[in-house]
Amino acid sequence: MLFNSLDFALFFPVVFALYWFVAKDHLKWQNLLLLVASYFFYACWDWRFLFLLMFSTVLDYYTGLQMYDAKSQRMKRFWFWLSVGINLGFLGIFKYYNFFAESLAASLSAVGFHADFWTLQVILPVGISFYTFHGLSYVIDIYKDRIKPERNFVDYSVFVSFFPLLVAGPIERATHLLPQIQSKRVFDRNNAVDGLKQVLWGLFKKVVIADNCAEYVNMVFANSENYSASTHAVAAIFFAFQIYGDFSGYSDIALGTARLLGIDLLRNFSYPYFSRDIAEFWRRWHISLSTWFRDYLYIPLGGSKGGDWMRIRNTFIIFLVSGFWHGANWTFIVWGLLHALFIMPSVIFKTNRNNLEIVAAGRIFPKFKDLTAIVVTFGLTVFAWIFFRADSLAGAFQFIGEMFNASMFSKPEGVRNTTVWMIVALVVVEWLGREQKYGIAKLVDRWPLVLRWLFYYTIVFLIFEFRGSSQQFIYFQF
Amino acid sequence: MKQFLKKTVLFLCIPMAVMLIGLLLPPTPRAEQSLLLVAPIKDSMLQHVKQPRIILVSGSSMGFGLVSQIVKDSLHRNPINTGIHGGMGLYYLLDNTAQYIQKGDIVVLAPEYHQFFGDFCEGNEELLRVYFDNKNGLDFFKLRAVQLKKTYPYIPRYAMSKFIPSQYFNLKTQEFYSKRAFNEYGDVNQHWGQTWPNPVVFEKIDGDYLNTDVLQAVVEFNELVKSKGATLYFTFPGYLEHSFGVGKPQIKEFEAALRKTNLTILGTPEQYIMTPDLIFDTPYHLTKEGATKRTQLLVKDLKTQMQKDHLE
Repeated sequence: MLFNSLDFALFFPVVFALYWFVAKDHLKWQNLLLLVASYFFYACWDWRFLFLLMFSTVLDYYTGLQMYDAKSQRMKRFWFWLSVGINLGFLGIFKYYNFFAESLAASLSAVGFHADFWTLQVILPVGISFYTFHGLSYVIDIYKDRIKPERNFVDYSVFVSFFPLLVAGPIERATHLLPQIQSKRVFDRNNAVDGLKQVLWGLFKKVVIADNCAEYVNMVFANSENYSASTHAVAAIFFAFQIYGDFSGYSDIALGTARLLGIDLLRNFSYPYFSRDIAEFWRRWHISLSTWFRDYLYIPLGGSKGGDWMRIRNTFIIFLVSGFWHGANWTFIVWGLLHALFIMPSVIFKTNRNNLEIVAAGRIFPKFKDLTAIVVTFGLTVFAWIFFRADSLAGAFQFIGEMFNASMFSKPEGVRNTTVWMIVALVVVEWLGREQKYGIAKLVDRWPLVLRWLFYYTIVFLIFEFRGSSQQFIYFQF
Repeated sequence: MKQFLKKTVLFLCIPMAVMLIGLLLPPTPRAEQSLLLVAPIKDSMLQHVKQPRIILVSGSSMGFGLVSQIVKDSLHRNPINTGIHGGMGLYYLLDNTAQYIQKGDIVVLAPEYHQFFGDFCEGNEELLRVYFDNKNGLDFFKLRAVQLKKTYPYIPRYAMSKFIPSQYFNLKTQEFYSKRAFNEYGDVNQHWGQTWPNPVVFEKIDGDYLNTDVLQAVVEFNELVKSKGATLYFTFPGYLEHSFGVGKPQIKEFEAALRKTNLTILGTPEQYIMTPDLIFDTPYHLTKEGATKRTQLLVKDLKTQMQKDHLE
């Protein structure tokens, strides 16, 4: 069930009505309803994988309790590694086994040995990387004595499988989400209206921006040798907007939906394409994953406390693992590696925390220096996205090769004006709203009611009139 | 909460009302030029063309891929080319044709390969438009459940299209994609003699699984045709060489499944591969020369089979 489907438009009002009218005064019933709704939501993709989700939930719930109740450090460690091992084992089997088997076979074949490993014909369960990381953070936090385990199984299950975040995040933390699940929710009209606005903006980003860009990007990447260099460049830029519209649009819908149910989720995007360097980009892109890696990998590895070499080493590790998290393909690893290289100057010269404040805060136009930095940073991310989008490394290098030749100055082929205008509209609105939580949060708040509604109706109209052909959310595959 | 619900319902009611008005308004001038407008005309042909008849069923690969005059001259049967647009979906093509089949008809079914993969057979926006612009809109709700599920999301967009200026002004469209594109047999012939600068090339057949439900629907259609005293032959569309090459694993998977059924199959997919010079604007749309070649191949296969079946 996609957020941008009429199935969801029917599903959600039913959940909303039951949640706020039938189960309103009973927290237990509200949580049980959320759990049933979440499992139904997940089962709509493939009911068989519901058992995997349930198993993962039971595993982390049980090992969390065992760790907390363990009489010795040895037993605590045993339960911890059991949970981590099984969680990563599932991830390894479903997501990475074929990659390792094929890569090993290719390496052996390169040195003259023939090895024929079994490959698995398995479908990747939707959202497995997200709920595995969700569960892992819970288990690690208990092991490190940062939190106590949740003893109510329903509450814990809702924490893992709450449907707005189940398949593509944000990756929540027990310290943030569990207390909200445990406490009584009170309907707040302003919060709900804000949630609806965020859902609307998310739909615009997904349906109008991402899906329209996807049509062009798919056309060029599928048949790149037939297009000019300038067309390649446009496709690469469109992919940058596609993945942003797709993933941040999904996050906006998830956050808005959760707010309608009285729950605040972690913010996942903060206008990443207005970043002035790569370090700032990573503070603004997929924030819940970046902070997860910071807290559960970078800091345990020593963070930046062990001198320059350790900082450099840890930065490379983080980016390579982050790339690999996205998918079992060398393209993702190279994407991560490129970002590690791009961020390296600021790590070495310790300028990675130079741009912490919002760009051009309180002003309409940025300074020339900021604008230049934004354009350069965007250019670097667009270049790296080529690897992220390509099916193989060879395909990525071919695409880049075709992007730099004399036809760079010819007119790009097949670009629809409406797509360009919609991207311009997105950039303008997000720039104007960059000091808020999402693009249109406060943009028209001071306008008279009629104009405000007209503005929202315009977005609704654009969604229906200019929606691209429906595409699966990209991050579902991770 | 009450105020929130009141305002939300009010906010939603306005576009709902606009949408309802959009649905009830007559087709826009642009829609009236669309090639979909021939759907009722082709239905009328299916009702009124005299025996002996041969009905050719598919999407635009049939509309753009047949010279019916050759069929008529060679087989001495009155051809009815029902091909309009693949986006109407194979379920629609089967169900719509089924109601007009008469005793003695020969039905030739040659769907695009895309119809057998994923949910393409359930139809797209074109299916919705056929009903709301050209037929009785209420009949739309009598379609199969899978067709409704696939196409109902297009309702808001369709309704809103009634309020878009481009639907009323600057209506110039390609003649071969208009209602004027067809000859008396239902062939698209407006493009004959023209060339298209950059034909689309399919790099894959969309839809990640072979849809066995639609294959079963074809088998059931065959039973229905037989029960009416008519004969069904299954054959393959003309398809661009390159697109055939990249889609070959899927096409062979489909062919293997097809050959396990009790359908009478004419020829092979390879037989109907078309070189680029015979292609007009998409891998299924043929030039006059392409359509002639395809028709001659089809007639040859048909003659052989009809002799076997004592239908000549």
